Amino acid sequence: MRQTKGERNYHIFYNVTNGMPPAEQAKFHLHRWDYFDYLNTTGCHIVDGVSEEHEFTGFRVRLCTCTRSLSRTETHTKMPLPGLPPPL
Amino acid sequence: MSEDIIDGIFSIVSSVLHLGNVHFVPDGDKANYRDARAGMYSLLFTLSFHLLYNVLTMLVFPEESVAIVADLMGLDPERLKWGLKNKKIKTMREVIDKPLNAEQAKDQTDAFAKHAYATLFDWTVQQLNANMISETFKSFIGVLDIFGFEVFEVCHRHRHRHRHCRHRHHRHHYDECNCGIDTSHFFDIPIGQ
Repeated sequence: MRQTKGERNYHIFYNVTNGMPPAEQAKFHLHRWDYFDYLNTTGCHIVDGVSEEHEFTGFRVRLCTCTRSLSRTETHTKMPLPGLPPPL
Repeated sequence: MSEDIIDGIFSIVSSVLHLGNVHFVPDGDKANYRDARAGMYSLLFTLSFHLLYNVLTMLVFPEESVAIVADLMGLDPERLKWGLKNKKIKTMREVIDKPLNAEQAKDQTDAFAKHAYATLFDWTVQQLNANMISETFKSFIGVLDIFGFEVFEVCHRHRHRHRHCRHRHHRHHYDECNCGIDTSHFFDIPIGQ
């Protein structure tokens, strides 16, 4: 199963292959997008008006703002859902 | 999130990409065809060998990509190689290891990559929810997504259900808020047309 022509794979793949600084890419054995067969078959890797560097930096910043991390046991239990708001 | 966790996220994303580069080729193709030119006996030998290796499925694949995946995921390279080329079948009595052919091995590798990505995605959603939820809040903004009610000509039941849901939702809201406005006529919309 593959993407159709002109369709991208998940955005994060292009963020890390095209947007991550090369020095950091070496740490994760990453290369440019055309090295990977999951990305180079459809011929599409650019979204007009979107900078992968900008997207990648934004993603990193958003990850850093997540201060609370779930413990291993918590992730296996049911996700807490917000109930209805209490009466005013 | 700590640097370690963020590194872990990118390691999995990278290993998914590298799994896509793992392709399997049956070993021995070239050797067999070279032997075939030598004569009848060797042709017979080659054919029998060909049958045999199809059963045994000696597969070759880019060792480098697999080594990278093992490194990024913290797996034992040898066990990962074995795992990509074989599958376990559970029978009544025992568990059997069955070697796969090239196509099956590629499918299994893709499935592994997909599973790794899906697990990472679910984990990320859980982390985000844990960070956005607050123990004390007076109100929240949620997204209510009900599928199906847009096909009005065909699906009366869905419309009915959606309207009912909306009705109850609003009633609850206004009752709870006790805002002093009689809103009961807001909901007197005929149902089932």
